[in-house]
Amino acid sequence: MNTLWRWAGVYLTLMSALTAFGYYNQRRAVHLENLQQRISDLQKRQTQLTLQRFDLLSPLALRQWAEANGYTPMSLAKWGKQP
Amino acid sequence: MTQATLSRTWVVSLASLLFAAGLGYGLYTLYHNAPGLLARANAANVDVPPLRGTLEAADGTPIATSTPDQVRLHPLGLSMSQVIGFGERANGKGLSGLEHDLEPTLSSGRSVRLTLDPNIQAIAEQSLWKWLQISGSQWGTALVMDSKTGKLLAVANAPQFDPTAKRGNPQTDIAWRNHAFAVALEPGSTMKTLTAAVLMQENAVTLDTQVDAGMTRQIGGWTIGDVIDHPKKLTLTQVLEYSSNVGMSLLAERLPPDFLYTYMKKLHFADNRLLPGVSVAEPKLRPLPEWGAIEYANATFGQGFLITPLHLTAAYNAIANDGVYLSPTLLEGQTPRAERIFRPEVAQQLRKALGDNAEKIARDAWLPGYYVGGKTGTAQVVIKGRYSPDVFTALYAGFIPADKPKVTVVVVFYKPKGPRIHGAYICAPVFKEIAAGLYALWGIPPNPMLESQNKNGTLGH
Repeated sequence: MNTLWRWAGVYLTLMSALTAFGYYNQRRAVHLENLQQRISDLQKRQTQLTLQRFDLLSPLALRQWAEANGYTPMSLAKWGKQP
Repeated sequence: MTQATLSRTWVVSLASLLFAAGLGYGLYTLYHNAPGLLARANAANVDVPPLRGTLEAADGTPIATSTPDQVRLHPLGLSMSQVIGFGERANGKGLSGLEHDLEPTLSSGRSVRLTLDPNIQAIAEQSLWKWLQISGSQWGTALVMDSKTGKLLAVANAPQFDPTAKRGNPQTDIAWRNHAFAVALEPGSTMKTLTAAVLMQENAVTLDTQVDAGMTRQIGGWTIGDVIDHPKKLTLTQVLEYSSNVGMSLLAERLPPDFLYTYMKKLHFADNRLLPGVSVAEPKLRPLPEWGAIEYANATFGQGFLITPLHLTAAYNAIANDGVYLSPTLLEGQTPRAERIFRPEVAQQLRKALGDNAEKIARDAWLPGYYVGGKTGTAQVVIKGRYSPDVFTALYAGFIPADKPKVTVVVVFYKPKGPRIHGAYICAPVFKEIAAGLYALWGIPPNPMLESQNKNGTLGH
């Protein structure tokens, strides 16, 4: 019977180790999932910011802003007499 | 003793078996659920299509690009949208424009860089959109081509098209169409510059050759008329200045029709593969045996055949490039075909004639302080087999600058409304604004010697 108990002890120890390893593994899986979700959120945010950047700084947006604010292209400036 | 030994063996064996089974189950679970393996399995999944390739402007700016979840983005918004086109919302498959023409390349994940310059495109679009409103035209287009390389730097279309908005009926709502490539139309009087080049190239005339031209002329029962009052006797330069149909058709009679026809073919006026890999509408050039006297006369001033604004731009660029025709390119890496068509002197003399008379030909194209030039055109449109008295195409084709062109520009408005429907009034201002924008972009200030008034002084507002 001593032998039986010894094997039972070994078995239970190994099963406990396996359970702990499985639990650790599941935690890592959840962590990975969170990281993937964060990557996805950041990518969406990056897309939004990229579009916002072009909305503000694209050549067309800059030209429209300049025109609305009264800027004159150098080529359309007039030659005036020196004071 | 023997019985006790047997009993222990069975117990140990059973325990071993159970342990092996538990270990096996654990390993099996690990294999299927382990994060590393799962991620690796996803990465190796060959059924996931590659991310659709990006269409980039000449400076690398993304024009159409896909997010990891396959949403197509257009960072430049409305700019270049008709050239880029659009695809199916569900899977991105190209339905129009370059998204359609470059489908095999883009769907395999490869990106394509275009020759379009976002700054020059914005200059052209801003002006074109403004003048579409002013002229009340149905649509408009403006092209800017690099004179020395044949690269298309801007292909602007109006009205504006939002590729992300809900689409209307593609038959009636034509905002999605790239008119520059998709519509063949009569070039009208812009053709006179090219006819003059042919006549000069064949030594039939010079710019000083005179012709007796009335305001109308009869050919085979048909009447050809001029719009602008002019003296009875005109030089070729004045024929261009007054845009005289009568004068041009009379001068052209110094050559048989096959000369002009041959040059039109050389200028690719019958070429429907002008841009390799990109859809361009088929031009319509009547075969030479079908040319009678009236057909020849009409062709000399741009009627009776159809070409796209792209064809016209490339043909005018041959004048800009000292007589060498360059096939236009839209995709970076393509090499243009170069063919000499006119002598350099012919091209230079014509540019000088148009540059020196820029203000007379179209006052609204003249940019004080700079030397630019071009030719106007206003063509009646054929509706149900007849020239409509009230449907026109207005055009302007020119060079910036006219002496040593850096770019060739063509502006077209279709079906303008109101009293001012001529190219000189609605296309020339767009040309002028594009010139002003380009000179500012290039950092070239106005030359006071080229101002007609107030030549001395400082640059001010």
